[in-house]
Amino acid sequence: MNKKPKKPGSVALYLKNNWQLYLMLIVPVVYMILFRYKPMLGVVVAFKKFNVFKGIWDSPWIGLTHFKEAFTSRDFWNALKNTLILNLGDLVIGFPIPIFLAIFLNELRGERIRKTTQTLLYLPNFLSWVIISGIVTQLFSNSGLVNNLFNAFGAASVPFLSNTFIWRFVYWFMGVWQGAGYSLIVYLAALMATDASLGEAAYIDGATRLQRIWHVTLPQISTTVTTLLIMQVGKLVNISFDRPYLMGNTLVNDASSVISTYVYSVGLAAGRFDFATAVGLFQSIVGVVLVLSANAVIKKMGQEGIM
Amino acid sequence: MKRKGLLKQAVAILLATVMAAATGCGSSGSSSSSSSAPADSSSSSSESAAPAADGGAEAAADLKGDEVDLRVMVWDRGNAAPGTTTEENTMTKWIQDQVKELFNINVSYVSVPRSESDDKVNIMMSGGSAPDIIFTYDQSLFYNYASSGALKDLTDIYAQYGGNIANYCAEAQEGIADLDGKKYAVMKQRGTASARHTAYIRQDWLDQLNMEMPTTKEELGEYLYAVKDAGLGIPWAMSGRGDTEKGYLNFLGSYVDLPDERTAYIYNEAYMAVAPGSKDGLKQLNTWYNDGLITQDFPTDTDESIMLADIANGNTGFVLVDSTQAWGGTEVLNGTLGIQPTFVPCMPFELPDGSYRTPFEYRYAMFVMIPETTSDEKAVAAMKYLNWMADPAVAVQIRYSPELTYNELGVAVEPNEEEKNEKGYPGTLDDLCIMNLNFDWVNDYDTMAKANAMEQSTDWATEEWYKSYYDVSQTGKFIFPSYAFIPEAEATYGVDIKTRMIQFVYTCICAPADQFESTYEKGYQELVNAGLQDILDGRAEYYDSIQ
Amino acid sequence: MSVLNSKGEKRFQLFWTIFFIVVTCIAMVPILRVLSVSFSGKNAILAGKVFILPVDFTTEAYVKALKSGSFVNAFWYSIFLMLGSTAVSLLMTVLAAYPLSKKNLIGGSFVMMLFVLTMYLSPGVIPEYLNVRDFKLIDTVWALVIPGALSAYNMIIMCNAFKGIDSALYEAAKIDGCSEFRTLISVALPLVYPTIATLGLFYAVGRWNGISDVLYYINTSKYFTVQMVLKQFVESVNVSIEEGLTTNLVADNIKAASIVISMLPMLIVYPFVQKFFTKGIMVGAVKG
Repeated sequence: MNKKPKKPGSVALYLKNNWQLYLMLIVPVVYMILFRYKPMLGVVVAFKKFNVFKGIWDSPWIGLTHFKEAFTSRDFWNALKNTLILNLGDLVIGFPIPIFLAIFLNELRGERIRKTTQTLLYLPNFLSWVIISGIVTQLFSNSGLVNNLFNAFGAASVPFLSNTFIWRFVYWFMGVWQGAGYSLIVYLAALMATDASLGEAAYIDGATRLQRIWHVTLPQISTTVTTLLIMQVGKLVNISFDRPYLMGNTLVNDASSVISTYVYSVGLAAGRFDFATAVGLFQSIVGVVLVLSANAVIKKMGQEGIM
Repeated sequence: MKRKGLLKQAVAILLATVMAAATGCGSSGSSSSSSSAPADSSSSSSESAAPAADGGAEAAADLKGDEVDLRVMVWDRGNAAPGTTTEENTMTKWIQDQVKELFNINVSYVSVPRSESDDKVNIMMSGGSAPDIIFTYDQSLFYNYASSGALKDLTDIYAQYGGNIANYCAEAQEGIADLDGKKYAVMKQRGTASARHTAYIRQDWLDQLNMEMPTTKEELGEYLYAVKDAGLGIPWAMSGRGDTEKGYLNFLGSYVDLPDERTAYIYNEAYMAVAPGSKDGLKQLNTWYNDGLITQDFPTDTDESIMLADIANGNTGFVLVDSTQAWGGTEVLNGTLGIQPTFVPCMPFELPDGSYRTPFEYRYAMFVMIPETTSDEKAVAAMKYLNWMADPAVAVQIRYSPELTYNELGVAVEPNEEEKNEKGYPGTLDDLCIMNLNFDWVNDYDTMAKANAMEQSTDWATEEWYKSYYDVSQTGKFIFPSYAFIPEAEATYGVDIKTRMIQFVYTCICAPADQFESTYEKGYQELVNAGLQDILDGRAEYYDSIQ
Repeated sequence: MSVLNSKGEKRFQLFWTIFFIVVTCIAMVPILRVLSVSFSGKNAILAGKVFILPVDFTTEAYVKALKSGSFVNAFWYSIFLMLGSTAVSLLMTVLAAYPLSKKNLIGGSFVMMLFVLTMYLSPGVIPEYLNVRDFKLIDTVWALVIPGALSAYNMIIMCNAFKGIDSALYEAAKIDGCSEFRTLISVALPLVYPTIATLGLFYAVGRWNGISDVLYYINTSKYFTVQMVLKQFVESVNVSIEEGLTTNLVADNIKAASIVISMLPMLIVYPFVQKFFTKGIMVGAVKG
């Protein structure tokens, strides 16, 4: 079908066969250029001293000042370190769980339990971190529900929210709590679309359940898994503001101050849009490097990458 | 024009009569809200009373110029009456009609969601598409705009058209919006002057412990230890908000001597925790914390829910919070216990010289600004508009709607929610009244206490209770000096330092007793590294430069 | 098929059913809490007594939230907006994903990179605002449809779904003389229903919950979405002290009620989306 043209003469043939595909692409590509890449010219403000009155284009250039400020600040590196730790934790703990849930949920034969579970697990997605962090306080604080339970059984209180080490686990746990339902649906959709007959064939061949999952089910969603993995690796230096900010507190500040909160307190809150853009640009560049590397590594491993 | 003058005077007369009736002879029996009847007097031609307001009418005639379109920002809170919008409702219509007739200005409104207001204003300003009148509570936002040339210089048009503002909102205009001798904003005038934070103590526990109301920190300490020994609950409930110094400010401040305006300016409340003397206060809090007098692990209560529940459940004996914040919990507690008073306002924070200091809100509220992108002609119209609504006679009709009533105390009352919905008035009338809330009664604390006691939905506090609230919070009323200037270092690091300062205080309080010194030193050094010294120096330098 | 009824299978089914019930129950805690707060009285909330069951049951918060003036209009407008923008988004996503799923498309890899990078390069709020302004979209409904019309993340998921289709089916279509458009519509799309439904859901939820574009691009309150109206309304109940108004303390349950109300449309839509999921199983039958 879409054979690459081997000699010049076949270009016409190639186009004749595929012009409709390019036609389809025109609208999305033009859209991307106009609405995603055109505004990106605005990142020049990272190299300027932004003046509200003059706007982005007429503000004076100041070179790398903003980058220097960030890179020479101890807080920036501390925030970067925390961002990486928290995101790696999300990757290691949060990434496999939806896959695991999807596979076993898919094995269940009860239609109702399958439907209900995926619907209900998706619901926490609608709750903002303001709400969730309020619940976290109620559950895990010194006088919270969990510690009251511990005390009732004679155990000592656990400093869930004031010990940096334990706090990180609370952070990761709540991330799974809030986000697992979302990826679960993606995986389930991928599983639903795949070939049920393969699994049945394996049954007949007498494969054990684990063998079946490993050799039949997992490969069916491997493209989706690697895709999501590559995309998440690219986001290792990006972190949302709400979750660490609202879940954190003064006592765990050493673990909860991340790049987004750093940008907020040093940049945005003081109206330093230029500084915020500079840090954003840094994150973008690291993100692009990471995603391209992850893609390359995955391809080297014989899997299909995104690009 | 003419009609406007009449309206004004009609309202003035009405106000005077009602006030007289209320203060003069309370026995006259007009206790019902029937005094609302003449409020719609804009059409009634009470020619006879003409002299009182003729000045206004004449001036208005001069002000009617060529037709001008004016876009005015308005906060949207999603609570417009059914069938209306924030920009188009009975109130905006009323304003539009008045302004059209008086000044030939066509006002239209631009909705800005309240909770994200500064963000949106920032975006619109950066895009050069801001409305002709914008406003913010944030001084640094104003300062940033003013110093980067994004705002219209209002000096001349204020002098020419701002008579009412200068007259009725004078307290608010003092210098805060003047940069290099130019005025870049007119300031909204606050209503009731109120304390920033107030302490509350359990009167019933004091009685139970046979103790007197503490008037010093030492007596407070005795009370707190007594509460702990008697096992009544958490002696002092604190919360762990990362954005406000309210939980400790008045306490730490009482260790700090502010001998002159210079010191008071440099160490305003944001920097109180590092002012000379405050270390002793931190040390005291640290001791109390380690003795179990303060909520353990309080910094984890970042949304205050635990502290507020402690108040409502009667688990605590003392709190220091935003002035009215303990009221809701006290109402619940009084209802549960069936007694009152439980929590009462108190002021145990004596200064080194034995007097008291309660930081108050500034008299100015919002910065009301006109962007540089607005034409001169429109800027004039904008100033006319603002000046018009700075007049209390107009302001009261916007704040409480033209269909306002006055209660027997002479305090304006807006129509109730159902009536507002029915007639198409917006839920928060205050949002359209952007210049002046300083009505006659708002700083008459006797009247306010009576009005509070009358208006409360459950009978949880007596008039005396409210009276004592105003008395206690007035003790040592103090307004920190402020200037229309933000040192470069503060503009850059101010927000960060403020957050760090709160963290610094929390960590010092929670440090083990034997590590207090080292925690303090380390924390202080971090603050300095993050720009604290530059900020303090910048403030000192500025103060010295203007003397 | 006797394997399906073996003892081991039954035990397996039982274990995992219980497992998922437990997991779901744990996951429901925050939701239950929001629900119970929304139905609880002010005093119980203030006293911190509400956890996962309502205390002092009342529906006052719902009445208050629903009565807030602009709610009803905003609700229908938001539904309409959600459906419209989801349709536009899905169309764009399919148009991009289908050609890019073809392995040998010349330039496809480059275009793909163009899309992927947008996930990591963000221009920032102000440049985006200026761009929308340049296209004269400020204060129009289109400002809420076009700028977010295509998500690279969703496009890639869609692309994967197309890649999963057996190439034999394409060959067959080709032999039948189908054009690419025809193949897309009659061969490819029916096979990727589950993904279309999923992405439709994501787009719909994103539009329904999205607030920042409404905030920045809309100046007329009749174009405010339900989420914006509810958010502002909650704020107005929770008026801050800085403005010198007395605080009304039922803010918590009104906020909770608002969240529940705003989740309802999704709860109603979800079962329909799930129906499409089960249809996807037919893929196997077609191929078999």
